Amino acid sequence: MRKPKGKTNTIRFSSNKEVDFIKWLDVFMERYGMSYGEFLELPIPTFYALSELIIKENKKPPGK
Amino acid sequence: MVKPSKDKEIKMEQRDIEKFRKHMGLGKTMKIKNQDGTEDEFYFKPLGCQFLPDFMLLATLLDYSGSQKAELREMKNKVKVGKSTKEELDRKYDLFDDLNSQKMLEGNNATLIVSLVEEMVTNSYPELDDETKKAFILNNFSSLQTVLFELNEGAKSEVDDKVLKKIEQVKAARRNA
Repeated sequence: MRKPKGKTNTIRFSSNKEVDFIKWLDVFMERYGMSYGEFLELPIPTFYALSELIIKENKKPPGK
Repeated sequence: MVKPSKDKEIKMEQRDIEKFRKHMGLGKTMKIKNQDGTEDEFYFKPLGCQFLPDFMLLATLLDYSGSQKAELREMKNKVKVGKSTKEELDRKYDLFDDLNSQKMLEGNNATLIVSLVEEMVTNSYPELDDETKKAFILNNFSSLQTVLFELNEGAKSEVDDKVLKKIEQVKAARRNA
């Protein structure tokens, strides 16, 4: 996948969390055990919904 | 709750998987009115993540236009001027609004939107022949464009302002050439 045009290449989610797109891809694929090919086929809204889930998980206190 | 034993595992076929995908609530329906008052319904599926960078770029341009508009609105409200100047500012503000919509259809942006709309229609109706597809897109482009953005909502990104300003400068220079 080519990088999004621009300098900072950050992606923003509805929870206002802003992350580096390329780094986020690694986190995302690792979390869901997804290959790059599987990621490319994933519908865009599903990617956003699943990303929001990761953000929510990370907000939870440790051990919960 | 009774758990299905391993030997009773449901074998899923491709069409079953399609059924699940269809009811994941991801698609969007577009209605077009007929002359007799009835409506035709079209169902469009969202695009895959391979198109994510394109959406990020378009969404950034929309965001950027939005922030410019907000600045202009703020400026307009702050300025204390006579009635004629106020009217002139109002006129410029409305003009900016029109230009803002047109901006999305400029040069490469237009090509990108058209290709994404085409991809969405192809993805949703793969059996549609090229000629019908092109005529359909041409006649319903505005509605399809709205569906495209609503369907893939959330695709927002931030790109360095300097890069966007440079793009604007290049575009302006090209227009004036």
